Amino acid sequence: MDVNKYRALFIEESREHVAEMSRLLVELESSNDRGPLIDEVFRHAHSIKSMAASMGYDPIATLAHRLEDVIGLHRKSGAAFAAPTVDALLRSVDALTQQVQCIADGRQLDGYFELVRTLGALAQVEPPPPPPMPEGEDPFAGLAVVMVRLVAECPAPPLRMFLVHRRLSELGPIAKMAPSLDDVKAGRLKGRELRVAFGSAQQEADVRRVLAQVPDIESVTFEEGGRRAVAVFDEAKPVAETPERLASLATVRVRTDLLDDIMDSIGELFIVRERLRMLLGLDARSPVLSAMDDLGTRIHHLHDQVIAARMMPMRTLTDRYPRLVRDLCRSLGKEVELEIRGRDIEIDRAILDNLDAPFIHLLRNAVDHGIESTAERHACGKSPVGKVTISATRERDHVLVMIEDDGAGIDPVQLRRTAVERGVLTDAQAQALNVRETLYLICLPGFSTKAEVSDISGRGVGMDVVSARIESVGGSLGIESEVGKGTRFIFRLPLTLAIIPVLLVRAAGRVLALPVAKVVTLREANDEILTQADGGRFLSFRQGLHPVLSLAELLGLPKPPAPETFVAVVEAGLELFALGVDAVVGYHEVVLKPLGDPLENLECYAGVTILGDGQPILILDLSKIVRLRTAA
Amino acid sequence: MTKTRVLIVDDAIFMRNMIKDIFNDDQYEIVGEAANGVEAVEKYKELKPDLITMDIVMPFKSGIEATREILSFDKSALIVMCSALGQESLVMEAIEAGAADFVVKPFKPEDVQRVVQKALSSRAQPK
Repeated sequence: MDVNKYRALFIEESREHVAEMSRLLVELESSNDRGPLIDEVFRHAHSIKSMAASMGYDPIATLAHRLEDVIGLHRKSGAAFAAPTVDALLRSVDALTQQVQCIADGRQLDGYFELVRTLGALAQVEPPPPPPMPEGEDPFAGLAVVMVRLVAECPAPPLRMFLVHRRLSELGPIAKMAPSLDDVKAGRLKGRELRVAFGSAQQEADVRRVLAQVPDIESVTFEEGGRRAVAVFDEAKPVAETPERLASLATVRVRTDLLDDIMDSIGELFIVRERLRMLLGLDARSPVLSAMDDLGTRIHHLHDQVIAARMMPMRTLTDRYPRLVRDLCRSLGKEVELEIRGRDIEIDRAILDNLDAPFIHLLRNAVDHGIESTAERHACGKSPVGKVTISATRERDHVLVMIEDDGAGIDPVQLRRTAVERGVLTDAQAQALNVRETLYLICLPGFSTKAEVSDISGRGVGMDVVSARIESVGGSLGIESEVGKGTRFIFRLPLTLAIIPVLLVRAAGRVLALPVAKVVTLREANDEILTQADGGRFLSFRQGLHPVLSLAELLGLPKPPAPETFVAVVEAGLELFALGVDAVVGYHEVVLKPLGDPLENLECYAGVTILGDGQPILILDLSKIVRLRTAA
Repeated sequence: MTKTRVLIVDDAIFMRNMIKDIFNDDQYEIVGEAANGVEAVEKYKELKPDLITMDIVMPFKSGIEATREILSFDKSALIVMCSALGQESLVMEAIEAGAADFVVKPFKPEDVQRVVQKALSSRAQPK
């Protein structure tokens, strides 16, 4: 049997088991209801052990077995897990991760003997006592004895003997047995022979018939206490076999890159349909047009189905975080409780992929910089244990994820000072910022008030990368903070990537796309809704007065001579802005394609799309554009 | 020749796939799979297979409990336990509960074939 074809599956499943164990062990440390958790951890360790043993990866099987032993001990005693024990268990889980990686890389496995010994000590595993050596007389004197010899390669001889005993006892009561039943149960065997004496007379034919149904028996001999009559029969050789018939499953595993490919194909289908539609013209009565609409509906449906297949729950990410926070706390000497809500909220995997690094960065920041030391918290009258909460909620067409802490908060005064010191803003500009705008300063590249190159946080992953990632998936980031109270980061995320509705507008002679999700309203710019003041135009909207910003100007394009005729009110971050455009070209659903290198370095664009006529249109990243204005 | 209908019970997809491969044969037909003891009992009732390969440690209901339950409503059920090393006492418990036989991981296809053939032959004979 070729075990190599199972390698990929072994690696994938082991990784899942290891990740779960990590999460559960952290939970176990602080939980009072340990029973079910212990059982789960046990099962995961057990699964790894079984798989590893089947694949012949003995070092992994041994380590997993030791893990099982330690957990099994606690299972029986119900005792709490002491921190050093959890540490050892977590180190073992990490070791297992490394071992699985070695399998993936094709490197030799490390046996982690030190760890195995440590676990052995924790599990109080004793070597089995040596089997007692009976001397002298034959206990079977005068009895009719069946001597069963097992084959040399018999796996688990004690079990085999146990089964033999059971089958024989179905014929009649057993008077004597050597090794004894207790010895067999305890695995104390001396060799591979089992002698059984019946309490009542049995037919040889019956005994043979019963034992013919038990595998791994080399020979069955009938003895009479002292004398031996030899009767041997062979093991039937197993039959060689031929192919196949698999029952179907309720689920299949699909490689995620396959789903991505299908998604791309659907996107292309969509573009082809748009092209067809343009070629056919706009005669609304044409039956072809209604068929085209049908086609569009089908493609949408297909798109939705693949999205559904690509949806993954938040816990795909968040399950690793309790361990992360625990380790951070241990190394920083802080006490932080992590609460995760909305683990089951589902979101497109493509978006989820982009959330991990930002979330981890924010968690690290929260524990490292946000949450104060226990002493400081005590001085402020806060509970000694800091609280960090990650919560995900589903709104109608997006997901809201909040990461908040009850730590020291971000000081806007300090931020403004730093901005001026670093030459990012002039003093006057800094003073002109309101609190909201000030907080967004942390998203500017290279901006931080503390040295973020410590090992814990930083390493070049600053808030600028966080906000860039979020916006690249069509989401937005909001920041709220109060000094002394805490900080909250709010992520507004679309449910899916790929096909999005856009508003095509013209500015400075170019056609650009605004994501409809971010467009709150569209108005014709006339004197009824606009007011002139300070040389500029203002739009009154939802109890706010918004300056009308020229989109052309924001993008650095030459401002048109005539004032813009339309105003689009858009959302950027958590704010509303009014953008002036020359014309509204139309509403389209388009496939968002990411800009590759080097165009993705252009700050204001979230991506590009191709219209049915083959025209590439840049899709605007509104948060970026609006922040350009703030920093200008 | 009628095929032997097999139900495979194990909580790991990996193990189920391995066992399915072992039964890749004209003699066998894999009629179903179950991932835990509860499903095992349900599937048994639904499919009435000729043979079950039963993992021991599983969520919701262990292989031993499932074995007991199945045997309680079908004394002739043929259940072969699949266990890992270090679980001897559990296998013995299963045998006492009425399991027909066992295989121990890591198992070679020949081992499984042998055990299964023997177990099936016991069915064919009058008890």
